[in-house]
Amino acid sequence: MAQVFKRYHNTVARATIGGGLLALIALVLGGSSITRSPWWTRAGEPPDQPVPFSHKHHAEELGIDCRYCHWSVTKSAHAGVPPAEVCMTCHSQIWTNSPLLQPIRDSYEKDQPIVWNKVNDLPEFVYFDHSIHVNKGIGCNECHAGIEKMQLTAKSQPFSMWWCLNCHRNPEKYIRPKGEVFNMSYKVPRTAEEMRALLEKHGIQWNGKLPRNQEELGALLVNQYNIHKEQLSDCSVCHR
Amino acid sequence: MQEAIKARAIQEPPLFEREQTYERITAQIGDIPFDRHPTAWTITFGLGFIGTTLLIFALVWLVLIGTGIWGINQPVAWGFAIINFVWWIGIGHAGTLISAILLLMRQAWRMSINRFAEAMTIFAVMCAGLFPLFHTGRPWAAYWLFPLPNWLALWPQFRSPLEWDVFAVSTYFTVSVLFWYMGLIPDLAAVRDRAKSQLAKVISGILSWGWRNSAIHWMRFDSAYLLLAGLSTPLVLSVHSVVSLDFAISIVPGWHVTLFPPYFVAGAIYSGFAMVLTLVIPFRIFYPKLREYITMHHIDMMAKVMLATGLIVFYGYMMEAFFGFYSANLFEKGMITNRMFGPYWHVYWALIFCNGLVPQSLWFPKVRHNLFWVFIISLIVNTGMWLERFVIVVTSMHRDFTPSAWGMYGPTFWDWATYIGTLGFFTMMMFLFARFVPMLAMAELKDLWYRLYGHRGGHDGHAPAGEPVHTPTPTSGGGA
Amino acid sequence: MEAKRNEDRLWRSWNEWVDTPELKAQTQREFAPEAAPHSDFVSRRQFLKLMGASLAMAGLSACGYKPQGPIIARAKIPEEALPGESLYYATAVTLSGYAKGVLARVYEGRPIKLEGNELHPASLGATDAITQAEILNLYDPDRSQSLLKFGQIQPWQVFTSELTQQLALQQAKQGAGIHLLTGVITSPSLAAQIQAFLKAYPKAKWYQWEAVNNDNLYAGTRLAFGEFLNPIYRLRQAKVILALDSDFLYMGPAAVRYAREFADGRRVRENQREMNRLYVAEPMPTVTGFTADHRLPIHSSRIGLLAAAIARAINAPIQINATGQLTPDEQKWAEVVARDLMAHRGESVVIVGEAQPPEVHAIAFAINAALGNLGKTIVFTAPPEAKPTLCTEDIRTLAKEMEAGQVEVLIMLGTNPAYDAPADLNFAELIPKVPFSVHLSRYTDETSALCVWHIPESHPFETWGDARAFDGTVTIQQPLIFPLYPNTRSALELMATLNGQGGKQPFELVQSHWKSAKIVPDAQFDAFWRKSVHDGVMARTALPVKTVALRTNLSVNLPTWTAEAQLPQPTPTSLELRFAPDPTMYDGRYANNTWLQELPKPVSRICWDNLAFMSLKTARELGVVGNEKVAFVHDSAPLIQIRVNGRTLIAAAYPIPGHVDNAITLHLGYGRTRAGSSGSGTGFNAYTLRTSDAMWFTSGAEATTTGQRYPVARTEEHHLIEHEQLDSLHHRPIMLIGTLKEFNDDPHLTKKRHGESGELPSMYRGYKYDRYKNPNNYRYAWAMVIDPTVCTGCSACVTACQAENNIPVVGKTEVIRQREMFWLRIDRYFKGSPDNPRTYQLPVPCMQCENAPCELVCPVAATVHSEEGLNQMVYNRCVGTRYCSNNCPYKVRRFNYYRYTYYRQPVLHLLQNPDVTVRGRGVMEKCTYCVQRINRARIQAKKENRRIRDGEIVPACQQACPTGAITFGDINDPDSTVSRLRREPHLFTMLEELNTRPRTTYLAKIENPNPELNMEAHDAGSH
Repeated sequence: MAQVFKRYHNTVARATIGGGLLALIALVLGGSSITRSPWWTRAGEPPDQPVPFSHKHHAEELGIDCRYCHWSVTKSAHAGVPPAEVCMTCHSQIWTNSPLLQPIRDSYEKDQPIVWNKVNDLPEFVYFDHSIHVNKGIGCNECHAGIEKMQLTAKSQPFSMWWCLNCHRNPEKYIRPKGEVFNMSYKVPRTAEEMRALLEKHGIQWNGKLPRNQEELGALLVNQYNIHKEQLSDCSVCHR
Repeated sequence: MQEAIKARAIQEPPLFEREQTYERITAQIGDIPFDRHPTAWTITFGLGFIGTTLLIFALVWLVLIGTGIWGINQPVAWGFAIINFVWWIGIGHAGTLISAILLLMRQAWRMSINRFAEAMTIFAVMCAGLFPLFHTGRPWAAYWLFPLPNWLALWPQFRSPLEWDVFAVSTYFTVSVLFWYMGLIPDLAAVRDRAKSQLAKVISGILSWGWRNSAIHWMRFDSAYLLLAGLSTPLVLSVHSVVSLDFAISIVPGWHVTLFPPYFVAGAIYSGFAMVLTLVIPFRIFYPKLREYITMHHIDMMAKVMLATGLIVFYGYMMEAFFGFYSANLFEKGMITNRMFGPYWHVYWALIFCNGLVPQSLWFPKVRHNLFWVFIISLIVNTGMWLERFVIVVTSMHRDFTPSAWGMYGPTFWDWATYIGTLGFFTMMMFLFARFVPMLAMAELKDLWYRLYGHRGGHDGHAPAGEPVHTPTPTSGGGA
Repeated sequence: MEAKRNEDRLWRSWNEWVDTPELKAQTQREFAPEAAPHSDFVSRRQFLKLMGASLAMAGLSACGYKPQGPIIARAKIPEEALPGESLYYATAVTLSGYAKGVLARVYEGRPIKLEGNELHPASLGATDAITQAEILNLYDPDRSQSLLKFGQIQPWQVFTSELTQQLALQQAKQGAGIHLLTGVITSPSLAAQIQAFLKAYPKAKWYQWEAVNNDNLYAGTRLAFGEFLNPIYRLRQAKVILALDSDFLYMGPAAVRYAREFADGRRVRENQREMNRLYVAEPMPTVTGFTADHRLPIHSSRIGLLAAAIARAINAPIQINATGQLTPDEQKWAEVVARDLMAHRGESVVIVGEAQPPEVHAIAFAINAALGNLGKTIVFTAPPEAKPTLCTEDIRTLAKEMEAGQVEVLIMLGTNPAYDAPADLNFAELIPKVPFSVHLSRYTDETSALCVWHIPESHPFETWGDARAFDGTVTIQQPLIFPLYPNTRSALELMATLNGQGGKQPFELVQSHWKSAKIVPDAQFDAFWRKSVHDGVMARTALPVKTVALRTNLSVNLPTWTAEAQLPQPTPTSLELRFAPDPTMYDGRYANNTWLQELPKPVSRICWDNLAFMSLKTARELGVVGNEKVAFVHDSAPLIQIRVNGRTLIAAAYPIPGHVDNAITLHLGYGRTRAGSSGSGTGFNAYTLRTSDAMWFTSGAEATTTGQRYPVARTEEHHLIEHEQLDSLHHRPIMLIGTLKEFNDDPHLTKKRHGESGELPSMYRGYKYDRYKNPNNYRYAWAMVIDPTVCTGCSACVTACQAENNIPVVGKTEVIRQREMFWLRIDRYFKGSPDNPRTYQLPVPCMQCENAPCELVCPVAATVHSEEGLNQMVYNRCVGTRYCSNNCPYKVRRFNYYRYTYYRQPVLHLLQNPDVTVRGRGVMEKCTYCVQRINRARIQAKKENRRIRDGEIVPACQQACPTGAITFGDINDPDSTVSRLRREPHLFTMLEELNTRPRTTYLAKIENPNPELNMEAHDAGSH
């Protein structure tokens, strides 16, 4: 009787087996890496805003301190989006009739809120507190990296759980002296001199040996700032 | 040792009703997929189909509305879903047992029912698998139970028996499917060679992986088959032991019992064989051709296995009661008293009747050889096993430690819909299987016939497809 | 069968939704009945609509990134407001005019939680359940929003013009046709407005009506002292307390304070081995009765005899003419109590309830006088009310005048007489006779529907006002939120409008009143005002204590109805019918408050209904229950028809242990037809049987079964009184009970009952909570100790927990299906015979076990142990296998079987506590010791580089508890209060032998029985 299959079908069959296995692996690895990619986490996409506010201009070029606009960051869970009156402290003097600032002036005069679009958004079941972070030496640009370079503001980190846990599981990798929290140009000292200078500047005691790198500096600070490392990865710290 | 088998075969009632040849076996069984199908098939399949649609409806509704549509509550947070899960998993046991353990124990009579039982296993496990998934409050998040790399940087908790379940059940399912399929390959080849339509040829051709009945194929087949048998033997014990740990790990009186693993396994085999009988007997009627391969002897053997495992299970019940009173533990005692005389007393005593008393009638050959009674008993045992799970789940939960939190449990329409739905799905799958796949393992039957009565087929010398042309067989291999 | 129940429910609520214009108007304003909690097919349809949403939720839970929403930046921010931080404002919640001081937590301009105000005499820092739930009234979506004339929405101008017309007409006859009907008013500024109005219209009349009122008390003081007086009890000094038909621990404007003072005299510690003794004689068990050391079930109508017997025994200076005898047992009881009272002259007190006739009050005052308690444990002030009056008289006169057609203008402020006025006055029929009737109320209720004008009333939290506490202390009520609805007005504003001061802001009205009150010189007024507003109490406003003397040769006749007690006891054919304010609905005003509806009633554990309560014996005689051993496992109760003087009511009968035989108790406040979407159609309207001549109880009632049954939602299986379960209570180590005597013999009760407990071995490595991992890095270990000895079971903690933790209301049907969501429940166990059992109450939150059974079995690690020893529950990780709940021996976990928290009305979203996740469908939830408060405190402490102080963290339950039965703190600190309590010899661990090692532990329940009275329930070895 006639053969149902041709010889090349053997190859097809083998290919199918191999391909199937490969596809399976690709699926798992691909999935996990995609969920970490900016494409998924929307990092680096500036949303449209009513006013094209430039952190680069205000924070870097003019050197306005973060706390001037986000004054509640040290006291409250929320850093706070500045009300129009804060903008108007300067813009009642300069750029007083720039069309770009019209929404601000309207808001101030009519006492109508401005509706900005959220840049950094956390799910409702995550409870984040700015004040404790900045009070314990986590610099603004650990999470808002490069904010001072942004013409249009975009989220620069994925803000996914594993990302948070990186720091919550070993804060010493990221912590810096409290005095440097709002310093956007802070760099980890490379040389012993720089390190000594830094520590002396902030009056941080180091017993005996001077920390050589971030890990050692971090360990020192974690200890001095009474950061209870084990507890940072308790679920209820962020989820209630 | 062939003599041994022969000898046994001669004293015992025959494994074949009449004189066989390889051609006959192939024709009788291999042709069923091509024959016209009895109206009984159409009707039963139709019922199964309706059941399946009901199941789908119930599940969609469940996902939309929430587990609240079921009767579960606090304290009884597990209801029908878990009862049915355990019940189906239990039924799923006969297959592997017959294929693997009986194979290794060289039970000749397994040959004509193993294919059937394995198919049943697969479908039963499918039904079982539905429940743990859908009983969760958020099925869409249930994939968190699988250890996948994820951006939460979290893993499942491996201390939880539910986590063990995930692995136990999925492994069991995979291996069962493999085992079943492996056994099918030579038979599918036979189907391929007998198929008339091109489509049938192609499909069965692809599925039989180009089986050409060469000696080397048989060698590979034997070793692989044996390997799988070895693999799945521990599974038979592991799966239901793990399922039983879902309960035994907890501290709930009535669940926290060290006896559970063996007692669950026995129960599983018990219900498994009951289900095989429940299916085989009607099939023998629908497909008269099968009668000469599934003889009264097979029925008899299965009935005996049921009797044996039934006794083990019954022992389990007695032990539970004994522990309850002997432990002098207030809560254990309260639990067993509540089971026997509490609000659910009737369920408990119904269980004792179904699983404890009724099977005793199988001591009598007269009953074992009466198809009707065996069928009825198998049904009763299935019910009994379901009741057992009900007793374990509900009567333990509804009155545990804190009296103020005691409550009652009653199923809702949706509980029943889901349960009946799975029954329908199961029936439907079984009948599809009967429709498209050789119901009995032809190759093995031929081999068995050969070993019992010598080579009497293939007069013209050329062997029909699937004929073993050499002696190494699964069983003898097992001995080697 | 659920389906059927649902249909009933659906139909009942529909009946009110057809063909009533104002309700149509409401529906137009999107006031759909889904304010009702999840309970029926209607809401299931919602779910279907929600399908999209829920699937979106599915996606969300799977992958955290949803499109970013907007941020609303305020244009200007007030200085005191720190974004994301709450502010606390002092104000007061009033009930029948009387104020209870509270601190309201206001988050971003919306009040979300009420706490007690330590400075306020009626609060002392605690609240009761009703006060906790007041916040929900503010956000009730069924609140009336617009003026209605005959049900048609009208603007204010129309009303004011019509009003001025009417007033002009009345001007001529000096307002002879104007009648004011208000609730009891203590608010000085409002009273001033009313007085001003009455000055302008000299012939106008002002009546007050409260369904639950002080008539008997005032009449009693008038009888005994010749004037209306306001008794204040000083229970801290009282060693022996006798309550005659009085629920002083739960009901009344000073209940919270009394509960605290009572508890302070009862805390038994190793170094504090004294406690007071409470005797209660009452027909229907109350919170007070269940707390008593000795409780005597006796008919209300015979309590007078009991009082008389005691008065004679201690020969009180009063001549009592009474007929009828006590039974020998009652006689003995009276004598023993009398002896005990006499043994504690000057440090005992007799308290009589509002239901007892003036004569009994007089007798009690005489007894107190004889015992020298006057001025010690009981003092008197003038009534704090602006115009003390006998409400029943008022309403009766008003009704007469309406009948006679003398009432041309009827202005009603807040009351709801069409619903709760005595049945014999037929008030509902009279209202339409009034040509110009105005009704100010928060709901378009039964009365509004009959009036010409309905004016929407603003909630006290939206406006300025003031009110007096039970002792006269004034609290300025300040607005906590911008009025939710523009058209609402307070009574004060309406009166101002009547006085032609419509333009004035409420703030001016209140402040100007107090300026003119001249409490302080004008120079200091601003400071004084600021302080008063800030503290929530106004200094120097408490009423001065009066020295009073009993009238000489005082003599009373116990009224004729006691003569009936001469007849053989009330019988099944002639029952005594007793009315009582409902524990949660009070007089019906809270009917639409779902928190209070679902709160299991402190005594009966019933929710969503009032039932006809009776004793088991009576129930069997009436054929309400059969003689089966398991009495009432069913979720339904039989409907009976109650007939008394020609009036009939169908109500569901429910046997309750400890109720006096041959009597029925009906709670007021149910069976409302226009309470709102949740309150309408629940329960049975007792007012239909209540007449002005028998306001509290009457005899000669008959009851017959109807053969139908009625679904009943209750959170505990009532067959616990059945013997087998009693056993299990005796032997199950759930609660440790001992008497003061046993304790004084050997305080180590736990050891005595359980032997040396010690640490049982565990196969798991225990967690370490070493106190000083690093000297300045302090670690905490949280724990809670609960003292059932002082717990009265008032359930304030339950509602507080609900308010703090966004706990959803699930509705009657779901409660019947045992799916209530309370994180903190109060277990109640009976001991002894059902006729008069001992009752024990036990608050049960999550135990926060060290070896937590729940943690082990969760496959996704959604419930795990924290560094500080909490069982954390991670809602967003939970997939809902429910195994944790199965494995929890205390059954404190709750599961979201549906999406319970779903509000169609956005206004309800304002209610949510932003610090706590709102749980979605399919996740488990439970008590976490208010972890949000712990985190807040920890962050604060860490910022200040210090340790959390003892008592800095107060969970919601502890904060609300009037008796201070709950203590929370850090056991790593050996000096913390909780550590000290955990060292008490009678510390007890629930289900200890399971070795779960809970962080929540209990002290033994200590009772102080009088050895002279036999208490079979006090046999040894009981726990």
